[in-house]
Amino acid sequence: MYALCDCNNFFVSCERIFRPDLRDKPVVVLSGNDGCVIARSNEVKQLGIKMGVPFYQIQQQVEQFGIVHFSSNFALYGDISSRIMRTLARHTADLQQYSIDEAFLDLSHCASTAEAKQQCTRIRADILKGIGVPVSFGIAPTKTLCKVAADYAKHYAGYEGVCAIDTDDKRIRALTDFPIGDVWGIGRRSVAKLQAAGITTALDLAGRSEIFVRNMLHLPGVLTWRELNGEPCIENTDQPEKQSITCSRTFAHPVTDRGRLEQALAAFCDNVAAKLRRQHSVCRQMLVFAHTSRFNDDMRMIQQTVTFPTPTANTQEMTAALLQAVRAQWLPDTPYKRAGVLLMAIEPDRGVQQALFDTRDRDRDKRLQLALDTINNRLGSHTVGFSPNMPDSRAAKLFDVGAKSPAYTTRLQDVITLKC
Amino acid sequence: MSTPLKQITQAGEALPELVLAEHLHAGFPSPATDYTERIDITQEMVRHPETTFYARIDGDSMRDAGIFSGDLVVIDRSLRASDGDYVAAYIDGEFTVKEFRHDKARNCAWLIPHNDAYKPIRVTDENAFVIWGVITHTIHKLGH
Repeated sequence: MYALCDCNNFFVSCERIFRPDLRDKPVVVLSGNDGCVIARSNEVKQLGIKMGVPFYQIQQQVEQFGIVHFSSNFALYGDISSRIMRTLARHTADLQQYSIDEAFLDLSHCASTAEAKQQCTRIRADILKGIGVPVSFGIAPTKTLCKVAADYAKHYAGYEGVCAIDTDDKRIRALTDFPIGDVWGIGRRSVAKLQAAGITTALDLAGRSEIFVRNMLHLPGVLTWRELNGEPCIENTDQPEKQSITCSRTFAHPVTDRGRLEQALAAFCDNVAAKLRRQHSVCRQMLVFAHTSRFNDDMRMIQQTVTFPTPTANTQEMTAALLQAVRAQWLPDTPYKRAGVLLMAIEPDRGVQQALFDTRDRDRDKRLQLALDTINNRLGSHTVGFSPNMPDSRAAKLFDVGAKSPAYTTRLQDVITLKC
Repeated sequence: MSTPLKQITQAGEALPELVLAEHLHAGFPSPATDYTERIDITQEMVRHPETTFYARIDGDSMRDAGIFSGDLVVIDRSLRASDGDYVAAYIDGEFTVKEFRHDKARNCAWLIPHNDAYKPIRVTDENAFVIWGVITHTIHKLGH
């Protein structure tokens, strides 16, 4: 038996921990750069505001209903997520984190569904009280059914946050009206094909033959079909390594100074390289770009793809390549509005093939990088780095930070104040 | 490396001691690295890391209980507030610290200051009230 723990409106819930006044208020969280809605409170969902909609398009509702908005604060969300994951890990022999706000728990130690439910109910209460985030649990024999159960737990108050699909009767009732597009593992393109074949609910799909499903959706579809029918076959939900990693920003004030642009790009490079190392990968290609406002007639840009002869995750090497690219294409008196770094051709760092004429001391690079990562992990990102890097606080001033909440849990200057 | 190292000391003031990876050693390995046992104040003060939060005190209403303006307090949200506990509470739009008392007879709660200049606050259903967490420690910085 498995359980899926899914945090309700996670980013909004994180913000509300430190803003109890917003408990019943409509709240949205916006993406950092382009101001799209990436999290909504239930009150906002009820207004019919969709995920991903640009903030400016809902201005009228924002004023009419007093919607409170936040820029995303990933330092906070990451910290709260890890608190929740560590809490969950204490209750299962095997925790598989699936995203920042979802994880599967192996509950095979529970003798009965009743026991599993009891345990999830207790964990849910502990997380709600101790951390302040409401979560929902879906319990079922397969992970795909857990997803379905969690959906019911979240949307129907009667379940009090915990829903189990443990009998065939319950399974059929749960799948009957469950839209096919909401089934875990069924992508948008599959939905179109399935709907054309008259399959609109999860039960429609579960009721078809394996051959039919194999012909239409191939092996991944068959796994989903089996799981919907109660046969567990998705073992490992670890996310595949990312195919590309990017960091880009729109500057609050256009940047015309080369040094400042280099500093910003170096900070982005530091960021993406650290992400790359965290997932134990290296990359073969890096795209560096900077451009003026899109609304200008003569949009000018720096754009350079760098290919590394030996795949790398080394900040120093990547920064050097980046600076070379910027200096080669630099245009004076140009107001750069947006810049970024994108890493591509990402592969695992095991067994990297060294280029024939590679002159870098890769072992030494690695040791230095590890030491820097250790310092930055302890003292905050960008504490030390390669020139022309700069401390985070100064980097932040370059960008639009908007309505970002303080780093309540990760920065001492940002903790809440208790009036006394 | 002299400039970045200076930044470490500045940024690191309020943080646990910096542990540099052994990889930075240039000369002889230090024989002291075998003795890694050390006193960890965090471990003493944080029983439940997942549910522990910190806050800064602003005001003197808890002065006689030894909680002063500017102190940093350690809050454990997992603890259930009992009579006599110092709690971080949210009442009518503001976070505060007071001693908590449950008054069953009058169906209300009290937030009791520890300073004669302040009056106890009576909490009823009328108030927007949440006990946010229980204060377990206070960190008071002396002159230096």
